Amino acid sequence: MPGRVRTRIPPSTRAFRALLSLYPSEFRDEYGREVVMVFEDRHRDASGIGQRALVWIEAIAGVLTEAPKEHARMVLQDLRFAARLARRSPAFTLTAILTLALGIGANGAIFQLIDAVGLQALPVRAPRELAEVRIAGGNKGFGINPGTYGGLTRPVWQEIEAHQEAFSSVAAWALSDVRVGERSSLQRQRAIVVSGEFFNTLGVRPHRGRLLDAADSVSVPCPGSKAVVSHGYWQRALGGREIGKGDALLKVDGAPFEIVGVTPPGFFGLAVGETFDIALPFCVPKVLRRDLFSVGVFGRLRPGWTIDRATAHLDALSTGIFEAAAPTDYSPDAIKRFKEFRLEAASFARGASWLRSEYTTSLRLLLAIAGLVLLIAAANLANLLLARASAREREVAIRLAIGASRGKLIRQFLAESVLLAALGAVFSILLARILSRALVWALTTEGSAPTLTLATNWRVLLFTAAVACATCIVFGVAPALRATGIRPAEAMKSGGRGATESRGHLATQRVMVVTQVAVSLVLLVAALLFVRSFRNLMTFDPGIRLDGISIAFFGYPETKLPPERLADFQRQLVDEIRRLPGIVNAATTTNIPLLGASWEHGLQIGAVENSAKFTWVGPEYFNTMGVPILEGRGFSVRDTRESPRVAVVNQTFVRNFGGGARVIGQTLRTSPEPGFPSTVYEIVGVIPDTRYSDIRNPTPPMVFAPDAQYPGLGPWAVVMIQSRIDPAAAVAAIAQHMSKAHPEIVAESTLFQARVRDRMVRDRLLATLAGFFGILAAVLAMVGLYGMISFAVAQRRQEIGIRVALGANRRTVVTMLLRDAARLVAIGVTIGMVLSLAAGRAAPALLFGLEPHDPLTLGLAAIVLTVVAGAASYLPARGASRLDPLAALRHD
Amino acid sequence: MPPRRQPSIEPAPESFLPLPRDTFHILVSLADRERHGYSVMQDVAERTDGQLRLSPSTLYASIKRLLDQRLIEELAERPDPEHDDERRRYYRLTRLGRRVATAEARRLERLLSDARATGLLAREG
Repeated sequence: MPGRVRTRIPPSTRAFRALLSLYPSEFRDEYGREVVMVFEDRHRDASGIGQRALVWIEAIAGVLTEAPKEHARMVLQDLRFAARLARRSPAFTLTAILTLALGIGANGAIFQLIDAVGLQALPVRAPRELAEVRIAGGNKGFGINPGTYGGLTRPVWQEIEAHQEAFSSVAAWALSDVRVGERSSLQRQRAIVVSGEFFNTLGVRPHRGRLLDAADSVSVPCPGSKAVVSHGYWQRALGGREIGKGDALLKVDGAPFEIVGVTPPGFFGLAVGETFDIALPFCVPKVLRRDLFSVGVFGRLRPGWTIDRATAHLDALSTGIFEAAAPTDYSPDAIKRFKEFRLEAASFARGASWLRSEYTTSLRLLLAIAGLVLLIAAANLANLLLARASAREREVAIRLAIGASRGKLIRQFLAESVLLAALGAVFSILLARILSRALVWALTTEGSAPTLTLATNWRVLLFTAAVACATCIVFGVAPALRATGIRPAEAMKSGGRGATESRGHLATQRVMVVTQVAVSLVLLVAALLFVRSFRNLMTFDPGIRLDGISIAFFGYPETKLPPERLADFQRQLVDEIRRLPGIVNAATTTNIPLLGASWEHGLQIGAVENSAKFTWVGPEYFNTMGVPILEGRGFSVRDTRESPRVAVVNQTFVRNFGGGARVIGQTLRTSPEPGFPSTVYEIVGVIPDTRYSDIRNPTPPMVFAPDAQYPGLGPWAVVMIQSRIDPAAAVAAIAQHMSKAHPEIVAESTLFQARVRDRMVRDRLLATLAGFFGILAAVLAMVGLYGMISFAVAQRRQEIGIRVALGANRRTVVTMLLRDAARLVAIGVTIGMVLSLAAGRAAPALLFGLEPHDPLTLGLAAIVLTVVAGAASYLPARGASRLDPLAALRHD
Repeated sequence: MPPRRQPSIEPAPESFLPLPRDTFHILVSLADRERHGYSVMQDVAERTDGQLRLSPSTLYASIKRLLDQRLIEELAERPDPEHDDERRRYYRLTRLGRRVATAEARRLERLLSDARATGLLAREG
């Protein structure tokens, strides 16, 4: 105040003023001075340190209790105001909430899946104390590796159990398929085979009866006699009947088991995404293979032990363990490699999961894509809110002019966004529950149906809240700042029209449009990449026939055939099938191609020591699978157990080991393995390169030999069948024939092409979702661009009217407007290209047959987006050029 | 802020009851004269023998609410220019405020007489 002597502000007042900053600014502006004065009065009137201290305590306590209340009151008031606004434009409100619910829901659904596959702990006692024991770096394909979860051999497991000190208890497990029931009604079920301490180590309590323990496995000869069933199987197959009365017998792979208990509901084993029906005990086999990596080992850490300490301990034990458990019938080199393995410990709190390793990258990528789509949608909402904000410019100007604080106005604008985002988030949680289940359903194939615990837990809720907040910031903050950043005088001067010419508004909108175009280009590129990659996979010619091929598995242990009769019986079986109506050809194989299986044999050709994929096949195999013989001959019925050993190799083999020379007539010698003594084969033919275990992987060197000369011949056969009728009908015909002619043989069959396609589920999911999101992104960007151009046209109505009145032709007007749009699109596309190239680094492992920086894809995406953007801008621009100049000028 | 319109129908005084303790004391202290914030605070402390001590924050939180509820209003002019500090704001009861304070006082009175009737309190005189 003029003339007033400025006195020094006492420190107590200054301190109290600082304390008042805890209040909302509105309250401070209105009552701050008064509150300070009252405080000063009290402080002055208080005598002595004791009273002053009391004044301070009361003051602080008062501020601390009242300031939060004041904030809450403000927020409530703003939200009520926002709710009134929202009710006034229900169409906008509904659109916004729906957009947000879908956008946040899509993100939430994918996150729920990531959570279920990769973040949830096992439903057992203190899962964080569990650690897995494995070979550091894996066994690099040594020996036989039948399953996904087996990392160690039984002898190695026994050594660990005998010598380790890191764990209070250790256990081993394996998953396998078993056939349950009588021969007439066999059903394939999933079994978990467990060591004695398995349930004890996990701390799982029985739901009924008892669980398996050491007495069921130690020194019990195979196949064992006691079994436990899962809660699901107990309900489904046993009708939840009482257990443990001695009458609950189950025939598993032909052997009787007594069911002694039921595992609790919710216990699915250790493999996330999978479940088991029956738990069988480890038993003592007649021969313990020392090269069969079939079991997983884990333990519960002793109190005070960490993963690192356990690893150090296991590493110290490794030499002794692998020395004692080394296989014998291998080459000295191979045995040396085995003895060099080192053990390590790793956290097992979240269990094992094939699904996790298969899908984590894809799901994260999809989450990123869904996040970007949400970003574009939020940008559109921001544009809508901006447009509404400009409509309210005059109101805002007046309120600013009569002294409303900018902070309060910003808060009111934000309150509307917060309200929309919060409502969107609430609905998104419901949507996410549905969408995540749909995602799991999309991953389901005949061969595998993931069973996941999709929970709306605190992680999912936290994620949803975070996404909603981020979205809210994107679409709420810019309009709020823009709308309140105007100068009151200007806004009111500009008459009834939407105020300040909105240059700033347009600038904000321009940034949004460039962002939208750039981000949608990235999404379009992703969509095209995954769709084209999937198409490449579907149409890729693996070099072998897929169409019209079915696979039959036969097991005949009950025939008790002597080994020398097995080959003949196999031939007879194949001949019978070939004679069935509709069947063209059939041949046995020891390895089914393209379904992930692999069988490698060490070999020596000339001086070269190496290895190749080995398959023993029937005489008609190459014909059945449509593989031509390029050189030499294929196999025939004259290749028998007694005839000289012969082999057919592929071109990669010739390239790698033949040194470019003619390989026909050369010999190769296999390295010894248990059951497969070193043998010399003469190469008699060459076939082209065909894909081996997976369509995606390049062809390895391959060797084929006649099935009759297979050293591992047993009472079983896998037959590839080519039919001229529908393979499903062929499969039915075979089943009918087998049950009539050979009731003692266990027969199963499946369709080759369908199983190969099952392995492309991930690619299909990526292509479908990325494609969907890509199209959505383009549409959203189009809407954004359309909105921006329409707004620009509305802003420049007068100018356009004058131009047209002065004789500008319509094309000039359209060009003028389009030039602006074109510039933005060009900037957006350029930025999008750079982003796509950068983002592409995450994708190569998921793509087949094309690179992330595939120029055709990038070009196509840019063209599509430019065309879409052109259409979105042309419509409003053409509308503007048709303006009646008189009407436009009269507008003001 | 845009000017508020006076509601055409005054709310019933009973709808405010029972009043929070602080609120009632503030209304009582404004019953006989207009006061500024510190004066209200002193008056309340005096009348309650220092039992009820309002902090500046709680005082103004109540004042703000009472203004919003239209139970008190701010004076446009200074009542006592000689002793007045020109920066201070003065408050007085509105008609509604007075009716509400009276209603609360009656309610308390009835409560008191009930307590006497049951022998909980000794009768006066």
